[in-house]
Amino acid sequence: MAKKTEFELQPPAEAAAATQRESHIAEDEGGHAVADTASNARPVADKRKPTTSVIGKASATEREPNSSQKFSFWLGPDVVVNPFDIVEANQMEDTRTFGLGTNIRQITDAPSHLSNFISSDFGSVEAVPQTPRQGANVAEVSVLANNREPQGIYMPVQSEATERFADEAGIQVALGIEKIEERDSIPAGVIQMSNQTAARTYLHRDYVLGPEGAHVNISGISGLATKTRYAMSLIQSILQTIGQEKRRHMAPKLKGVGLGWVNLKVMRRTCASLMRELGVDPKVVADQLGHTVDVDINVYASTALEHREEAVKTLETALRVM
Amino acid sequence: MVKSSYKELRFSVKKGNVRQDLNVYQLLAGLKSGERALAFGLREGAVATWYVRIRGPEHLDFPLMGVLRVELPNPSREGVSSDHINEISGALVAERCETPHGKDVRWYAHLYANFLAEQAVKNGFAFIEVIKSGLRCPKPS
Repeated sequence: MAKKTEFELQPPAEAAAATQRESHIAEDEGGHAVADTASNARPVADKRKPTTSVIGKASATEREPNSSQKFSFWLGPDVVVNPFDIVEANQMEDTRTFGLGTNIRQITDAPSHLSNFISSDFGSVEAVPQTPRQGANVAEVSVLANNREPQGIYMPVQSEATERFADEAGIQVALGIEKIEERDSIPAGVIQMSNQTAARTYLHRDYVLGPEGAHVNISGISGLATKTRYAMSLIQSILQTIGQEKRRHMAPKLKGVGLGWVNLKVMRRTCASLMRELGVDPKVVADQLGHTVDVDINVYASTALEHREEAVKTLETALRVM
Repeated sequence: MVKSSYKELRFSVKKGNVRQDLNVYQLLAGLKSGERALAFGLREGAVATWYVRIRGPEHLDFPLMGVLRVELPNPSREGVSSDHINEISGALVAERCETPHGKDVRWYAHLYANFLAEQAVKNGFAFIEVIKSGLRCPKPS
């Protein structure tokens, strides 16, 4: 029994540091195979087993079932996944289903924002909970591909299926790159995910250049020149690929107009000269051709004959005056 | 922690030279957030009990909201040190953040950790009907 018989004032206790939730999921960061950028060789997709750590488990609920098109999974504590990361889930028949992260949500057992406001000591921004509120991060994924051959499995990813970041080979399976023959591949850049896994990506030449030619849709934030820069890099990539394959598509067309002798360098010099005549900014021209401005002007761009004649006439006129 | 507050109890409290006879409402009316009242014995000292306010009354509807009554088993029936009572009270006050507001009507006097434990126990039962049947009062013979 307490010996004091008066009111005893107990100052507010300092809230202890929030208990850190323990993870049953192994760490996922680092340790992933990253593309060897020094090598041009296409990586060979290893379909047998994944190489990355488990980051969560698939979750299907009454209100949000998994389907052939999309599925959800909860993330282990401290796991970071961003939209557009490519993940893979264990699928039936020991296969892997790949998907694109479209959204990540945090769910808690708080029924309303008011509950959270009240829980924070009626709006105290300094309040730190001793017992953290129950919650989890849930990622929404859009299904891209399954690695079973010849036909993939598009059953819904089953609840509790383990989830991982896709490795480089997995990303290429997800995007269908592994099915593109090397001779048809146009390098289209590198995808880098939240866990720093990087994968080279390729476009099929028939869908960019050939008779089946369509278009490349580039989206991004306006005003940063990222889309333009990517477009110019892609054009450069296309030009280099064509050069390596002896201008398979362009040579017949050049020959048809009597320019069969034209090689890629002549085309590039012509391009640089014409753009200069048209008043295109020298930096833009240089960037498109992949040079510095100095090299572009001094090596690639030739002065038009008309301008040379005009220069000579100007000089002659000046001499007569003298 | 217990939910009943012994509303019928009267407390004889000496403030200075004045002794006051207070009911529980009067006793707790001046209790501010984070403060506790004096401890007293129940069942001939086998249980020590006291009140502690974990939420200020300014946000709540009536004085007893936000006040917990704590019962501490005391089989020795000897005095419990104030430090021990303060330590327990401090831990309870520290649990005031995160509440089952919106999930439990008694959220103001319910600790979130206890709410989770209750949920876990409830979810562990296979059929609620089994529990209800077990709780049925026996018919008088």
